[in-house]
Amino acid sequence: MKQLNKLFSRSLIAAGMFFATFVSAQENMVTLRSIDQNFEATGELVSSDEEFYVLRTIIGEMNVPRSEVNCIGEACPTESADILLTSGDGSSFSGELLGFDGTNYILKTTIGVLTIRSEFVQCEGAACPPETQAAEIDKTIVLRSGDGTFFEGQLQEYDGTNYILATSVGVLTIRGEFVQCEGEACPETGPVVARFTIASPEDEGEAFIGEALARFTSEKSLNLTRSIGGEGNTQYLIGDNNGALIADITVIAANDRASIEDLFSSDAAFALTREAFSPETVAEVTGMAVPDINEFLSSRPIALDALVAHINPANRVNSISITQMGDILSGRITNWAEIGGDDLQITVHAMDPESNLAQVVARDILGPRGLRLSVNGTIHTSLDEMGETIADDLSGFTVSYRSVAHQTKITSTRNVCNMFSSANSFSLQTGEYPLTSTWNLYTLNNHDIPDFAKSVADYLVSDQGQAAAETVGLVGLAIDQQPMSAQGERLLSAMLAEGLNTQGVNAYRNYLAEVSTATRLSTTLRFLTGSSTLDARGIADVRRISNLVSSGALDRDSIMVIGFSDSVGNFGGNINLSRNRAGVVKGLLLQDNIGRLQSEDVLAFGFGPVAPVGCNTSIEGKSLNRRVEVWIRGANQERLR
Amino acid sequence: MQKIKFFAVLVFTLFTQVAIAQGVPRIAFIYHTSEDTIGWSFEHDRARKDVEAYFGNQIEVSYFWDIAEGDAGEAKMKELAADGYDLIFATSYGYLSGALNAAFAYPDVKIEHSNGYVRAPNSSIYSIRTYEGRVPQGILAGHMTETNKIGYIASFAIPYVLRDINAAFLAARSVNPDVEIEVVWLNTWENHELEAQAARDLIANGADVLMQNTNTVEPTIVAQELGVFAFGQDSDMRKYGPDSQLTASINHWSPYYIRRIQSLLDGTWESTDTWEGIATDILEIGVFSDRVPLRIQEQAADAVARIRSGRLHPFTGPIRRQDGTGWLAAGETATDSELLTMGFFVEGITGIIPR
Repeated sequence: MKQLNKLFSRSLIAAGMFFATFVSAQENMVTLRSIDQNFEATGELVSSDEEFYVLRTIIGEMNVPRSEVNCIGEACPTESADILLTSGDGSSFSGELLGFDGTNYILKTTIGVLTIRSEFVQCEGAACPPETQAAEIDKTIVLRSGDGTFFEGQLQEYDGTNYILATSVGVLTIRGEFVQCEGEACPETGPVVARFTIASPEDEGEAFIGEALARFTSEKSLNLTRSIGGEGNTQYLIGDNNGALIADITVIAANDRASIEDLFSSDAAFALTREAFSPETVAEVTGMAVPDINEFLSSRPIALDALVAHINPANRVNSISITQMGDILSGRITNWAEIGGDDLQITVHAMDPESNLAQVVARDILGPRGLRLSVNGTIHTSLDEMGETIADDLSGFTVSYRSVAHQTKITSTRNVCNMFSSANSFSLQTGEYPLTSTWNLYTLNNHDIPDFAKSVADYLVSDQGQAAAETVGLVGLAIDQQPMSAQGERLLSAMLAEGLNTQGVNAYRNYLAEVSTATRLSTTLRFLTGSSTLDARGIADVRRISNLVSSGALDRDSIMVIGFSDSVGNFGGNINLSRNRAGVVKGLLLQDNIGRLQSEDVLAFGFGPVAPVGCNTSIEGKSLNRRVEVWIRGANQERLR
Repeated sequence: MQKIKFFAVLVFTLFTQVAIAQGVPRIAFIYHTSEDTIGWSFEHDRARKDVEAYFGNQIEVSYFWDIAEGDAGEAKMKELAADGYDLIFATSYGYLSGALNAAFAYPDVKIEHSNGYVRAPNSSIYSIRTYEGRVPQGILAGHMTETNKIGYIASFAIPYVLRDINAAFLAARSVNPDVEIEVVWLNTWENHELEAQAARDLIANGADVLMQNTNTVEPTIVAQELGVFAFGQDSDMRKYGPDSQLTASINHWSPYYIRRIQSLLDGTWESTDTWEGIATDILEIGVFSDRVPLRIQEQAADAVARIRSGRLHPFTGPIRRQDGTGWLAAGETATDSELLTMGFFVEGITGIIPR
């Protein structure tokens, strides 16, 4: 302290303190207080070196030895010269900053003295050269409302809704919608970036989302950028023409089971699945009994796919029944000659047991027949690779998705009553192909989904999104039409399958008379078992018909809703039952199109069990037959789509 | 007789070792990839051959393929230093920390690290101005595209990559105001499958000229197969795309290596930081495809000549950033510091930069 007393008189110090009260707003103001508290001086810190602070006070500049005082104030130099330099790739160096020449840091590290290009690194630490630091932003803002009131203060936080503002009267929370922000520290209040994840089947699923997003962004004049992640995840960045980010969408490849797990763990906002989920599966994932999964999940049908037999293109076999599929997969049929092909051992290929495909084949083909898979070919982990193998293997056979056709040959499928069914897009849409599966988009009911994400989901189910599904081999749900003349396969099947009595022949003749000049829509409505309630797909389909009505495409046309039943019970009762179901659909259509459709625009018929589309000896077949077909007759029928 | 032979061999061995220790500097090159593909390491090794031809028996040169970055690279450099090598060229960015640790462990050995940004007292860093090569590429692409769409296969969103994309786009726009660029980010430097797939996707999206800063020849091969154009990057890739390659940016390290080794021989070697391009022939522009009309070839060659003479800077204002804010005023050129920290797209590029 002696040293200090020599340098400054008490009065001068007092003057310095007095002065300080006038200039407290000035920058670089610090207070130097001796360690024993006997000395204190406040003023502008002009500079400092290892030995002295240079302080400018009202009476001039003074040199204060650093070892004798503590410096108080934001402008005080820190004691440590240690800094951390971090590069964009994660490499970093720490140590004492010896110098900075405008281009290079000279850094003393534990391994030695390094010369480091400043452009490659971010500097952290109090000793970082000021020119390398982002300019300190003045936090003072003014929030002005439309009625002229305003608040001035230091912005502490903006959470997207409220400004937290420190004002002279205290800290205020101010709703952002009511005020305009003025000042350098005002937050960007552009659209909030929608960040979300979609879990999807690999290959076709990922390709579908990519294609749909490309079409979506192109229609909305937005830009799409793809970034492929290290783990094979794809990040889709959607932005405007100025490069501002609007959405950041990650697509992760997962099988159906993992997708639902991702949904419940909130790792994904949407789960795109190859199939609709059963309450049992959801119960397994959640560990809770869920009698009605709609309580938790909302599902939207996206597209259709089907299980089909894939064989080599040079194989002569054209049609394989579902029973034969099971027999081949289980090793009961081992030679192509047994089903009309060449004398050649059948090589059975299959996907690994964890895959969706293996599980669906076991559930829908092998399980109901009490059979087990027996593979003499290869167990594959990739659908594409399995398809390529069969394209090169004359003896090859597998049951796989229709959407991964590639260079294999797909046979038509026969069911037990010898009804033929090609897995064409129309038969998938009408539900008349027996091994059809519906891709679904799931989301949790209580999940907070960004609006932009909702608009993406809406696009996937729109007719434009459906077109994207078709580019990857899936069948879209958009309404298709087929004239009577193209319905030959099913009429042939119906005639071959059912022995019709006179009543039946008459009903069949009436049916053909009604539809002979009409066009069938792919929309075929099915009812939940034992009720007149439509299933989820049915509700979406009624909405699609309504969209057609409101678009004007059906003006001056008649809509025919034609009910059918299975063959259980007496003929007359079935005619009445089928008329009732047609009546229900007519009612829904009128209710959904009040003011656009009159009662006479919709004709309801019921033809009972005639013209079945499924085999009445099986449960699945019966349920296919309990249906309402939709036909269009009139001036505009050829102008649809 | 047997004894005499043994003795002679022993004397010869001793003699050569003494000779090495006394006079001829030993130089080593380490490469992170294998020998079999053209590209980044191939060009360093091509320069190594030039060095051997140039200096003859004034120096002894060794080279090592497949030296993994990270710990293996550090161990190799330390082994070489302990072995008496005088100068080691570590030719890949990933040798960063290994090169520094080896330099401090062996202060008498000199280590030069390609693409690095940190130096020890006995180490140097050297890089190449690839963005200059994007100017002739952009001019050719802008003229030759019929779809007005360039597809760009990008690795990471770092200044080096953004700089190259911007330079290519500005050059393409200078000759074709309708040209657009679609960038796909692969987040890897080298992945045959991803690069090939990205090339196919870009072409499916309408691109008919491809550019890349990833390392493999796949984009060139896909371009050849599907009948669109591409550019050799790092190396001349005509062998893989005889019809598709419009020109190539060829890394040509020989002048640099000769200069550095000469300074070692002269005793004037010192730690340096070098970033060179067309002006000093470190970056060479390959021959133009004869599919390019002569007048366009001349325009691209003229741009190269003006870059060489310093009359053309690839980033000369007026240039705005993608968000519409001003960057360079008319006639203003970017400083090296701005080029090294470039974190944005220029105006007209519509893609998003992953963060």
